[in-house]
Amino acid sequence: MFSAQCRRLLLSLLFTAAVPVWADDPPLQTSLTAVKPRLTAPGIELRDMNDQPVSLASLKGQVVIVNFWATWCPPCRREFSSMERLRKIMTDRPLVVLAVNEGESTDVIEAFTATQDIPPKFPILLDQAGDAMALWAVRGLPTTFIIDKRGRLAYRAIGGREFDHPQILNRIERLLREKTGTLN
Amino acid sequence: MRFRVRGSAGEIVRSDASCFIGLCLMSLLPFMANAGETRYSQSAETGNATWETEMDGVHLRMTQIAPDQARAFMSARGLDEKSVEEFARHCVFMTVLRNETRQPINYCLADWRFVPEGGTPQLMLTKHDWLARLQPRHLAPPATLAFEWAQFPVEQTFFPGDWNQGMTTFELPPGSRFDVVYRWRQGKKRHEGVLKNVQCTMPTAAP
Repeated sequence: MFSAQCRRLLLSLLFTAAVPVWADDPPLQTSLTAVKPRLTAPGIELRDMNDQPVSLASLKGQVVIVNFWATWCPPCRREFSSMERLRKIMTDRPLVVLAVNEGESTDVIEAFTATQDIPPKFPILLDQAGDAMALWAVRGLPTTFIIDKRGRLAYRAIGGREFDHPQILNRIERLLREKTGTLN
Repeated sequence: MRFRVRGSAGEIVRSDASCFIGLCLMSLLPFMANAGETRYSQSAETGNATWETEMDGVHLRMTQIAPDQARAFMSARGLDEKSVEEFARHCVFMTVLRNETRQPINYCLADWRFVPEGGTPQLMLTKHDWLARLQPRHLAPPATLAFEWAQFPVEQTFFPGDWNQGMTTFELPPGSRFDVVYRWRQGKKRHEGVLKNVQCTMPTAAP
């Protein structure tokens, strides 16, 4: 009934379908949800690991990835290195990654970042009381927002993502090409 | 479909058509095998069991968390001993919900039920229940924050590809078996799936 080539194709598909994937960690996703209409992002006024103040408002004119995370959150840990890879890919481009940590000490965070193959060079901000998370209406970790150059929410993602995946890079690339327009 | 064409060209047409039909049937296999079915697996490393199901594109997975693992996690977050013990006495699972559909979904844990073997449907404990219990103990803010956000979100709107992972707890004795009825809305339509025959970790043998 089937040609030899078709039989091989069907058998390989059958084998793939039979491989159990149930016990594995859920895959890191590559989708982003477009926020329509783009609303002005809530503010962020937090201190980084060096106790320096960081303000989201000061980053207008750049695309900003705002990632809410904690070291005890398994998908946060899994996606973390992909944000650094993204930052490296976008070196010299107007893109900033802000990792907003929820309630942990610098010692705990440093112990985690020390285990990363590529140590993060993006700022890690300390949301000690979870105020920023409440302001941004985050309901679960990790949650990530991508802010356009005009300071508006452009994309949202709940759950772990592979930030250096071509599909996400393509979305970010499009944001980077957008005209800044009038900055408020 | 026409298969009356003779000669080599006809053979190609017939072969392609049957292959196309075969591929279509193959593409249905994962759904035929998995839709609504509860799959079970066990970690060789930890011995923890996992149950997973999928209904209408929404996946639910629950993995046992042993009392010692729950204790270790909560102690490391700075929770006091009394709270740690109280939490670890419960039937705890690492729970993952994923939206693999093409439309947003919305769920609320208040709509979910668990049904113990031979029992009636009940509500699971949510982070609100736990926070109400912990509040009088005046825990350090970082410990409370970690405890709160480690629990599975009480409600969420998941767009395509969105997912969460968090702890769910059930007031059941060790080794209890139960079903979990999970519900969500997609537009105006209500959906539900059932994760069947989930089991709390077995009681630990006395030293």
